[in-house]
Amino acid sequence: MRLGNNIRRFRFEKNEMSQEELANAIGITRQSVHAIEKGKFVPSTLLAFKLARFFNTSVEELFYLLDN
Amino acid sequence: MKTNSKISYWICIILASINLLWLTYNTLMFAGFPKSFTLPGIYTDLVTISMRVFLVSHLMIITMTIFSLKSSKKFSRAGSILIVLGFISIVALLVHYLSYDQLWEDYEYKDPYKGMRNMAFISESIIISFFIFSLIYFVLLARKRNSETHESIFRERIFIALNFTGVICSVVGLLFVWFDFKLLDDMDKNINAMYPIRNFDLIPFAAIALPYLCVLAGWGISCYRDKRYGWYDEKQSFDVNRSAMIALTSLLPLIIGLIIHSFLGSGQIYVSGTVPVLWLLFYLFGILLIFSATALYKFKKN
Repeated sequence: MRLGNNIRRFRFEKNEMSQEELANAIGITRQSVHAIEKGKFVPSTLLAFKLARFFNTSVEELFYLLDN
Repeated sequence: MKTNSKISYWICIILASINLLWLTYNTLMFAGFPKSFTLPGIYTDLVTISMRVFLVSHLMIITMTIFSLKSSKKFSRAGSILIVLGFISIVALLVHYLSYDQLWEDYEYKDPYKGMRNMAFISESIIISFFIFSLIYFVLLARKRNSETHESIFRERIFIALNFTGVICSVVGLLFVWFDFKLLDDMDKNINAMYPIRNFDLIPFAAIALPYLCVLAGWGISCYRDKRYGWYDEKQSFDVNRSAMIALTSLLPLIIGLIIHSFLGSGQIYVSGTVPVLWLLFYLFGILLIFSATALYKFKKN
């Protein structure tokens, strides 16, 4: 099982925000945002909640499970 | 632009200019060898003193560069290159010092000196290129007035610089270890295994490790100053942990294998003397190389 996400969609819905801007807002590096978006890195629960709060949505809306 | 930053940039510009002038003087002294070495002591003393000034200037400029990475997004890549070049230049400074020392010996014993003088010129040219690059970098930085680099980019740049420095330092360190082993091969191994290592034998290794420790300290200070981001970024923390595990698991069996091989060869394992210390250095630089290279690879892969 893998973790999918809608971060890219949420970013674009929020005034086409760049990865760098999101990274600065959350307090992580741009590289982390990129890796999470690509599904190469699974964020911690804390970071997942931070992202969800930033986009004013729920964690389930932002992240979902992908069956193989 | 903050006044403190501007002052530090100007300090670096002045430092680089003074060092370049001093390097020109040294070049003239080396070019005039052996005649220049017959001049009164004050002339050659200036060359000796310059080595210490160069080292302190290197450390100061590298430290300022680490902190300047934050001030400009445009220049952060150039800053990272300058940091790496600075560490290569410190190694060149060590070579420069050794070749200068050897030139004195050649001069006293009337030995052929051309090879050593060429080495002094080559190492000097690396040091000159570092000071020229830092001069251009800080002049441009002092002249610009634009926005601050975002913290997320700064963290990435310093992470890359740290691991690049780790790779360079460890490769140079391993080359020095290999060179020392080659020297031991020319002598009786049993005698050298019991031969105690002297303090000054370790100075080159300490000088090689110093740049990495400097960037590590700079990175640590920047993390400490910025409480919001914490010590590690989550992804960086993940990469660092994985790299540490790979470094440990790959080098430990190799070292154990080498010890067994050594035991089977000589029938005993030395716990003191030059050979075990060299193996320890091999282990330390090896760990650093695998760790830094893996962390860089993981970073670039994503």
